[in-house]
Amino acid sequence: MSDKILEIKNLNTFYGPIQALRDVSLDVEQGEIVTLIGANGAGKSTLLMSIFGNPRAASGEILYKGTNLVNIPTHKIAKLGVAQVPEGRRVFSGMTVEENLLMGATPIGMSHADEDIKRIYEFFPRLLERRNQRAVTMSGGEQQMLAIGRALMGRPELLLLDEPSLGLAPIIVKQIFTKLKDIAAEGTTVFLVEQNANHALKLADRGYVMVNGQIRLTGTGDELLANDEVREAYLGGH
Amino acid sequence: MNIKHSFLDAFVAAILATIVFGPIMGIVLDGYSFNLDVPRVAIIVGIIFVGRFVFQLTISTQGGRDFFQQFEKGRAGSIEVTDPGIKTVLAKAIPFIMLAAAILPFFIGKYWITILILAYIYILLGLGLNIVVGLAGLLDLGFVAFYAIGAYGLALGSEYLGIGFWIALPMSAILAASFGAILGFPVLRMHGDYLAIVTLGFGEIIRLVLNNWSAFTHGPNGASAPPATLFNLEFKRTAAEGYTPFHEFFNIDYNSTHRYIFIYLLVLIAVAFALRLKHRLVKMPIGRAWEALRENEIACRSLGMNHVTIKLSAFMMGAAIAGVAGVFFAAKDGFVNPASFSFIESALILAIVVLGGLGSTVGVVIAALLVILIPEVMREFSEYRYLVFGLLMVIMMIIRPRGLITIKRDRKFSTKGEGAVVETKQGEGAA
Ligand SMILES: Nc1ncnc2c1ncn2[C@@H]1O[C@H](COP(=O)(O)OP(=O)(O)OP(=O)(O)O)[C@@H](O)[C@H]1O
Ligand SMILES: [Mg+2]
Repeated sequence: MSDKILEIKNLNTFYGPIQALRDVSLDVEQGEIVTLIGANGAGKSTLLMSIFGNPRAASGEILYKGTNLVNIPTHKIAKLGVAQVPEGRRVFSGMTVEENLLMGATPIGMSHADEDIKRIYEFFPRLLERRNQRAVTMSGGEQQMLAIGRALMGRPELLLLDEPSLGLAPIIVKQIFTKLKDIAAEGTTVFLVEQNANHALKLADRGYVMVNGQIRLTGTGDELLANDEVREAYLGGH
Repeated sequence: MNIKHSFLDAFVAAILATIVFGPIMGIVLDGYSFNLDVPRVAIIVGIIFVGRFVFQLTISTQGGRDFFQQFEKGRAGSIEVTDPGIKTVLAKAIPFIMLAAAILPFFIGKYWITILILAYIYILLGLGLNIVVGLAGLLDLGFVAFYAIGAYGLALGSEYLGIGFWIALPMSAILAASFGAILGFPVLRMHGDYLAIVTLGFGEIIRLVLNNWSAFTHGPNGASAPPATLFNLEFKRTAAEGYTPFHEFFNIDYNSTHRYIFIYLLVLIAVAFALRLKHRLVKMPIGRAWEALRENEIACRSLGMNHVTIKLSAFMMGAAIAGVAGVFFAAKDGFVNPASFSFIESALILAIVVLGGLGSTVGVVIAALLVILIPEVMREFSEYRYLVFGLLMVIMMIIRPRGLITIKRDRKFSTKGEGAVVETKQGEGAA
């Protein structure tokens, strides 16, 4: 019980009259890699954004290390140790790679920025090569590395990622996912939202399947990979 | 060269021009009836035909293409990244430019001094709006309101509270900044068009209040403002009580130009100060936060930035600078009235910022000088000067769509990032 870093209970979120999340409950344990898969429009991004209070949940609880995040302002959540790699990366396009990384240090202040940047350059050597390049001019894969690096600058305990594989070539996806494994191995808990079910389930310890704003299935990565329904709907029926 | 193609193209352009200009230029209202003015249309269509023909011919040759490609590069190219160590030529020249600007008023007449004062005031306004629009990306169409608040701060402050120029300077800045916060709060959730409309309304509200609250502001008649003083020396023939006239103190002949030279120098100092401030701000966390917020608000908030304080600070900082500009404006003329603060002023300031290249300081300076000096130089064209001015703007936006000066980024990040240098070799090895 106490080693649950994230625990979502009966979460309901609306966009105006439309209910995007229905009674969603899930949990993530310290040090795990947990993935949430689902089709377009299932509500995966909505769930990640709800954790950051944007949109705000209508009812239910989002417990991060026992603290309920539901009523905490968005900008204070990052300071608690949760970081997000948003859908579509959303790097600061006009800024250089290094500036982007520095922005990522905002939640913890600039005192560790130097050593952290060094650490991230070691982790993603490609970013070091591109450190003075404007983010907008980088390839999709590089931007994804930057978005992850930027999130890591806040020294998060829980890292949320929204479709890091979006629009990337299979080989780059593989590289990124290997990095996620490394990140988890270093002690950061990873909660990964993906449409690329195959990769995500192979990487993850456990997974959830979301359909129309509800959690439909849950199990270990291997269990879900073997599940007929999952194979039918998300793995192309192979 | 492809003469046939060029001719056809020009012909189509001419037909289009006839359709567009025919009704506008060709039909001249005369009381309740109208006359047709065919030659006028013919001249315009002729010019367009010839121009298009020549243009097409030019770009059908290699040399012509290269010539125009040059401009395209500016459009597609990204922001340049400069090397950190190299002090730009400009940075080295700044002390000399400032010195030259400081001795300039002693060689030119009063007329040009007042025009330059106005130009410098617009540099201040441009720099202020540049923070709001250029850095923070908040489209503010009512910026003139803060300028008005600053100007009236001096005029009404001296009338009701008896304060002078030097007290009014910081007070107006604070007052304008407070109004910036008042405007800032309701518009925090707005973006783009909505923000523009609300700020536009705010600008008009301030002007209308100044215009209609006659009991307090004297309405359209305006209010007088005290001139700037040097300690307790006044730049007048005979000074008010407690003040000494400047010329008597130094035992020189009275010359009304002295007063303008003094204000000129004060505004110049204010400009230098504002330039320095802008230069520092963009390298500080708050400057970066403005930029980040402009680019992506959601990402900012998830990174723990408080968008409320960031936006408010941009509004307030911009407003404070406009307030200071307003005080100088009032002190220069010794008089303010609401007509000076119409929407066209906001548009002009915005034009300066856009023309100069969003976010660029040097661009703002050059654009402000051009925007104020060109209409002055073109006085002979009297009512056509705004037409010519508008045309220049359009041409500018075509050949330099990113503004006169495209902003550059320093290669290495400010102090904090500098320690984070890892050997490149290591990076290559791991890749
Ligand atoms: N800002 C919004 N306003 C209204 N409805 C929204 C908004 N954002 C998302 N929705 C709706 O909420 C539902 C869930 O969307 P969400 O973006 O969470 O899906 P997703 O699972 O992330 O999909 P994808 O895999 O395509 O990213 C969709 O029906 C979507 O149309
Ligand atoms: Mg999504």
